[in-house]
Amino acid sequence: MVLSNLDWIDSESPLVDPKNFRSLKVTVILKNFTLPQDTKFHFELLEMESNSVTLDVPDEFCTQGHSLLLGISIPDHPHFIATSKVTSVESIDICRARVQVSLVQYDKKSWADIQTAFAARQAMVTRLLSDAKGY
Amino acid sequence: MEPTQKALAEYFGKHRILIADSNASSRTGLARALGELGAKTHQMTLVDSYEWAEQIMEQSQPTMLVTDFNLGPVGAFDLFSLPKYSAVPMHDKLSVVVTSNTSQAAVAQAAEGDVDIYIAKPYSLESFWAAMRSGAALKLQPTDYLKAIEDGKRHLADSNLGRAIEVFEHATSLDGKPALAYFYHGYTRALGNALEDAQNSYKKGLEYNHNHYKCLLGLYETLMSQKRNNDAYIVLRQITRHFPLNAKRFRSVLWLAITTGHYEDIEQYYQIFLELDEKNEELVRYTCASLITAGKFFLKKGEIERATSVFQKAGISAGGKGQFLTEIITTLVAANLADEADKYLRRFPKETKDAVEYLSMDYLVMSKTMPIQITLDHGRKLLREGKYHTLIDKILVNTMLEAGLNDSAEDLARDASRRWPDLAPEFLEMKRKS
Repeated sequence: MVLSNLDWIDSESPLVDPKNFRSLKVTVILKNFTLPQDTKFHFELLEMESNSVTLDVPDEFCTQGHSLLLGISIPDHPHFIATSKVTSVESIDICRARVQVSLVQYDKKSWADIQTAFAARQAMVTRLLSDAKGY
Repeated sequence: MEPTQKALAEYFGKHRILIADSNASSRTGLARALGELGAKTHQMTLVDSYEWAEQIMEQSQPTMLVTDFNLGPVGAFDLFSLPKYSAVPMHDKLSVVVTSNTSQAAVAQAAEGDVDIYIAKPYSLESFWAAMRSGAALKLQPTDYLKAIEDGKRHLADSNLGRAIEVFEHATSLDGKPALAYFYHGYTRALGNALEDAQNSYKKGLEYNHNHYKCLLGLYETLMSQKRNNDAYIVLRQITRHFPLNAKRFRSVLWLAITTGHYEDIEQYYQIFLELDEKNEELVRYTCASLITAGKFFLKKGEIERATSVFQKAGISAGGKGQFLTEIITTLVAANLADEADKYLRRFPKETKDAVEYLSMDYLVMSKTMPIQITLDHGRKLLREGKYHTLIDKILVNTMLEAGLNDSAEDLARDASRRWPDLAPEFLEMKRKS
C-alpha cells in the first residue's frame, strides 16, 4: 500500500474551511465636511504608519491642511474612527490622488488593534508562503 | 551574517523592475519604497494593465516583478510564467506580490508559482522594507541548502538527471528539514519514470513536513500517473485541507471524489466552489455534474432530504443550463419526486421555454402530476405542433397504453420508430406490448 507510512493523513475530518478563500475585507470611510455629504467616493488604504495613513482618493477630494474624519473597519474588530489632517496631496493621474493624513484624535488602543490585525495577516501570509514553498 | 545595507542597495540597484498595479497611487508608493531600498528610478517601469506588463516583459526582460494579484479584471499571475521572465535564473530574479487579496488560495497559488515575497496591502513601509530585505538576503546569501537545490535545478534544466539526483541527495544532508530537497529528488526520479522511487522521496519529505505542498503535490501526481485514484484522492484531499485549491485542481478533486465514490465530500467542495474567485464555465459544469451524481447517490441511499438539497445547489449553480436541469428533473421524476422536479422547470431561461428540451421536461413532470386525460391531450397537442422529442413520444405511448388506447399507442410507436430510427427497437417493443 503506497500510503502505508502516511497514516497521519486524516482522511475523515472535514475539508478546508471555506473562509480560507476569503480576503480580509477592509472598509475605509473618509469624510471631508467641506464637501456635500451625499456624494459617494471610493477610497483605498495603501499604507499605514505609526500615526499616519496613505490613501488613494478621488482627485480634488481634499487639499493639504483639510481635516477629515477617517473610519477603518475590518471584520471581528471594533470600528476605528479618527479625526485626521491632510499632510500631503499628490495628484497621480487625471482623477486620483495619493494623500497622506496624520491621525489627530483617536483611540490609541483601537488603532493598535487595527495595526496588530494587519501585522497578523502579514505574518499569516508569510508563514503560509514559506510552508508551501518549504523553506 | 546579514547582507550589509550597501550590498542590499547594490542588489536592488542592479534590478530592472516592473511594477504592475492598476492603482496609480499604489504604483507610485511601491516605486518610492523600492527607491528607498536602492532601486534606480530609470530602471523601473510602472504599468497598470496585464497587456502593458506583457509588452514590457518582452521588451526589457525585467529581473524583478512586483505585481498585484489582479490587474483590473485580469489575474496577473501568468506574468511570472511568461517565457522572458521564466528564463531568468531563480537567484537572479525577485518575484513579489503586493496585494489586498490575502486568501489562502491566492497565497498557495503564489507559492506554486515560485513567488519570493507576498506582501499584504495595506502595508507599513517598515514591514514592506523588512520583507523585501529578507527576500533579497536569501538571494544574496543563499544557504548551502538552497545553493545545492539551485545547483540541482540547473542540472535538471540541462536534463542531466543523474547529476541532479546526486546533488539533491547531498542537499538532504544540508538542512534540518530537507523536505524541499526530497521533493526535487522525487521529482527527478519521476522524470526518469521511477515512480515508486519518486513516491518514496516525497514521503520522506513529508516525514519532515507533513504539509509540504510540493511533496504532497508530487505524490498526488505520481499516484495519478499510476492510476491509483483512491490513494491520489486521499492525498489531494489532504492538500485541500491545508492549501485551498486553484480552479484546475478543484476540477481534479471533484472528478476524483466522484470516481472514487467519495460522494459525501461533494457538499463540502460545493462550499469551496462558492468561495472561489474564478468560476469559469468548465468549473461550473464539473461542480453541477458532481452535485447531481452525489444527489443520485443520496437518493439511492434513501436520504431524500439530503439529495434534494444537493440537487437544489446544482440547480442554482447550473444557471439555467438545460443539460443539468434535464438530468435533475429526470432523476427526481424517476424517484417519484415529480413535485420536487417541478421546481426545476422554473429554472429554465424564459427564451428556452419554446424549445423541445424544455417542453419534454414539462411534459414529463405533467405526466406524473396531472390526470391522464390532460397528459394525453397535451402530448397530442405537442405532436400536432411539430414538437418532436423522444421523451414526448415515449410518455405519450405509455400514457395511451395506460389509458387502454392500444391502437393509438401502436400507431404512435410506429411513427416514433420512423422519427427516431436509432430508438426503433425500443418503440417497436412498446408497440409489441400494445
